[in-house]
Amino acid sequence: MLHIVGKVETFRELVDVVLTVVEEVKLVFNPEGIRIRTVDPAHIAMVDLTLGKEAFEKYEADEMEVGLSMNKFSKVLSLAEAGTEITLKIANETNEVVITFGNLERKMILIDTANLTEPKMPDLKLPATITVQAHEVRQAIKISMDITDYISISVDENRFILENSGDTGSAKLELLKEKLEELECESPITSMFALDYFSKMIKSIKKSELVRMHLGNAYPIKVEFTIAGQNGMVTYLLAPRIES
Amino acid sequence: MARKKGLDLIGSGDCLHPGVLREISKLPISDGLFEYNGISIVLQCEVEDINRAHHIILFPLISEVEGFREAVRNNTNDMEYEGRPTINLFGSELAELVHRYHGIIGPAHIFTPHTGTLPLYGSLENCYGDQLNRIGFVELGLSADTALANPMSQLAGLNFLSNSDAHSPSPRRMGREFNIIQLDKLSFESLRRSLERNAGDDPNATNRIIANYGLPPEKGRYHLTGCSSCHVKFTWDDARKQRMRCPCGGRIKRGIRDICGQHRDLENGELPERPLYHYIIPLVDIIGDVYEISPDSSKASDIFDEILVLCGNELSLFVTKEKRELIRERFPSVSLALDNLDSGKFETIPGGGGEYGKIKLLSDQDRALLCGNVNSGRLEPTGEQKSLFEF
Repeated sequence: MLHIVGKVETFRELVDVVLTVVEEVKLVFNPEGIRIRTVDPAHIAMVDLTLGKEAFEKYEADEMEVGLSMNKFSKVLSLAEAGTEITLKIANETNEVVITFGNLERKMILIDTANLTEPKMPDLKLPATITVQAHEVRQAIKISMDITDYISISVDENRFILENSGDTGSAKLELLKEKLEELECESPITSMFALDYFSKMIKSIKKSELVRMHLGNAYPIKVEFTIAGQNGMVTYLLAPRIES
Repeated sequence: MARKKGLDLIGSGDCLHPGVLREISKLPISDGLFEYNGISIVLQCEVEDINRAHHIILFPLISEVEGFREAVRNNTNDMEYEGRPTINLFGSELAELVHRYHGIIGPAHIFTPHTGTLPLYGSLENCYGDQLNRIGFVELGLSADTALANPMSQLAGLNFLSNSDAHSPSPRRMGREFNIIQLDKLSFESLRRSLERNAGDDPNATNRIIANYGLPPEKGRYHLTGCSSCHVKFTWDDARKQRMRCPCGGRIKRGIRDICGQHRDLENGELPERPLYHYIIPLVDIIGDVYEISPDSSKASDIFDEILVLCGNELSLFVTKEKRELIRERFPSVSLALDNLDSGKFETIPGGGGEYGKIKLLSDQDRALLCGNVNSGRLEPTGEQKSLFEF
């Protein structure tokens, strides 16, 4: 049995985070909240999300796994105005979720979870950590989008740099230690990432949020931030591109 | 745009139009050529005759243009508002009047179906009659080159012009074809001498065309015989069997390759010496092909401008190979595309029936060498994408 009531914004945050990586996902419900962990088909990006029951107006859930199309759910949510309360119900022994708000009701058939595997989180040793306002990173991405399809991230003990360059020009964001909320780095590191993946990840973070990044040299990046008024936690992993 | 392209001398276009004539008359003139921002301009227009054939006309003076306008006033209905007016005279009558007003005339895009002199008149003699010996040049048009036009005895002694036929200043139109002309002086009279019949026969002559630069003819939109509606291509025999009607219902337009084939009467050993014809493609089109973007996009325009900062002007990339080295490091993909164009290492899908042909300047192998990813339109060395489970 599942019966959740929450603001549309909370559900949209969840959906936006997941759609960055996959379109169909397995949600694991328990009495304390929701957990999602999934990886994209190319194994380039992974998301791990936990959302506590405090994020919702009402939360009653048994231990259960639910397969859901985030695309379809997103379309339903797009019809709701800001502040609308959304209700999700799954009755025992049924294979559909009933979504209601206002006078609308949408029944959605659940996806078989047998094919929606939960990957193991790689055990990464990432020596550098920085924390920065999300809007700074978003701006750096926006200015880079029409230059190349990758972005390079560098950290040393004094600064954090996002940059890319191509035939049409170059773009760079350089933030000194004083401008960062946190910087831990013993030796300089640089990694390069696919810009389309990275930009989708950063776009799913609210501008006002802080984003924490863990990096290594030519190694995956771990991006952490909170959602739903700090009642939820998201971790993205993104594999690097490595010069041959 | 002419300066960006690197052109020294351009035709004014539309000089019979009263508005255009008024604007040109404000410019300083010297030796029969006007000057604007360092570019020389010759009074020039294209007209359509009574048989719908198009002709290029050059004049030395505004007063001569005005005299010609008066002389043809009763033979045209649209000269006051059309850039390329229709003058209801035969080619020979038109040529006689142009010569009376000290102008130069020759066929525009001579092979083009429905508007070219050869398809419409059958021969230059039929078109220009007793004025033929005063005709000194033919414009090849975008779908033909020297190799296609040279094996015709009726064109012997005539200078081949590879002109843009640009009716707008777009970087895709202006300078898409051009000529290198050696002149003892930048003047109308020297230009006239370089375009006189047999001017190119003497390699020691002072005023002569020394090179043509133009599109590969396959890129032209009338190169092959094809349907003007659905653009399916036909052999000439098949088109005739179909009675020039495509199964889709559209009309089949005869391609310039087949038109040239019909008029060919010289064998390889009999071909006149001609200036070299070099293949070029407008730089923005090359940028569009290389980066797989629209040549009309702002991104293509940005790259175009950045390249010009390095090399000065577009034509220098085609004419002076040293200039190409200046862009090789920053724009390796564009540089390689230019090399492939020179060496003929490119794939073509010929145009026809009014549809421009397509040219692929970089092979998949070139793209792989440049970026390590055959399917990527981007050419930067973006490295190899790793999987999360490799760590």
